Amino acid sequence: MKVLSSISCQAALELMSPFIDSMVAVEEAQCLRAHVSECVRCRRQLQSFVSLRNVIGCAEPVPVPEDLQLDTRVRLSHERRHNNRERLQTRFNNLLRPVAMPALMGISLTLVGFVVLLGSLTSSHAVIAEDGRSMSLVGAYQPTKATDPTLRRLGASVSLEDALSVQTEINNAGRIDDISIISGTRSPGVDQWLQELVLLSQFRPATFWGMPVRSRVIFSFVTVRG
Amino acid sequence: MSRLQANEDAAYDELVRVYHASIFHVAYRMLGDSSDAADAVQEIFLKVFRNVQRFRGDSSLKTWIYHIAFSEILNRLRWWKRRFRSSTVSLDDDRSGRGPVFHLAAPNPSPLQALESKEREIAIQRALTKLSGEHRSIVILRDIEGFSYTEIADILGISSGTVKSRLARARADMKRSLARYLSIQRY
Repeated sequence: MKVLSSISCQAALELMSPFIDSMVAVEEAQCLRAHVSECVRCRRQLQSFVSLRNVIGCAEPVPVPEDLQLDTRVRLSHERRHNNRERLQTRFNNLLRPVAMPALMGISLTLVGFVVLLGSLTSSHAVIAEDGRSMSLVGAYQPTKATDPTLRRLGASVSLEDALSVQTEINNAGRIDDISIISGTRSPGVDQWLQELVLLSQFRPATFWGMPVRSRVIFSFVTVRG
Repeated sequence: MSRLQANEDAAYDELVRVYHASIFHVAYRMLGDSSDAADAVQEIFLKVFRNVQRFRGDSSLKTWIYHIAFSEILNRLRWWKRRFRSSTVSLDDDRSGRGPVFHLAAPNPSPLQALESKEREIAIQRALTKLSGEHRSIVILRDIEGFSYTEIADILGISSGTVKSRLARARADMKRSLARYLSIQRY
């Protein structure tokens, strides 16, 4: 290896690439210049580096496909639109999720409760409305009413010694199913009279949520004299 | 940059208009195929869009875009190398089968000039293709695109010293491949 101007050919060769880019220190550049001024082989090497840079630098730009810009813009636009939709969806989810879950649970529980309650209320067989005791469901329950004057007529046909109270079971067709004396004096006349009452009386049945239901009604009869 | 981060349509249109050609050139030089290069360009701009919120301004916008571009291109080269390690590819034709792409230097070149220009273009591309992806990217960035060592270091995520040594080795390889096109004075 020749050693000229304080650096070797190998060292000079290593400096050539950065030298043509002006990326060596001033002292290194001076050493290289001094070296190549004396070493023909290294001078040719340096010239070949410079020539190489010129040749590569003269490389012509390749023609760009005509539709590349448009295609890129379109693809980018699709991506951005998709991304915007995703971002909005995420934001929407993040905002609603803390509220939506408790709200959904509340609504679900309310619905379940309502359905259970409605199911039990609309079952006419399961409910027996008792006159006067279901008043907490005012509006839902309509009590039994007499629809003809039979009761009044029958009441006038008997003479009671003291007050008579009877409890009746009225079915959902408005007819008396069962009758029992709660208080008062029982006699053949009274029994006869009660049988007629069972056979002839017609009531408008009690209703619950609009549906006819069985009911229990207590009647008190007294004889009014004079 | 703030307009890009604000997702303005016009900002993205301008970005594509300004950079699509230069990114295509480096992609073509790196990949050697115009359709691959066009596909890479689209993917690069998508990555720019996906990462635009992460840009902190530590480097210039151009350097940042080239960083994304070379990351994508080198990934493609690695994938290509793994996928087609055993296959052979003609250096004269790009993979689309349309033959080498070249551009005439002068507006009205003589037939001889046109032929020389075509031969030189093919030789340059062939010499570049012989280099490894890392060396090829440095030669393209420095000798064709004209980036400084510091910018190349930022783009490729390596030190300036590594840029310097890799460039020296890559140029030495290129000199051997392009020896007949280099003009050297005889003494």
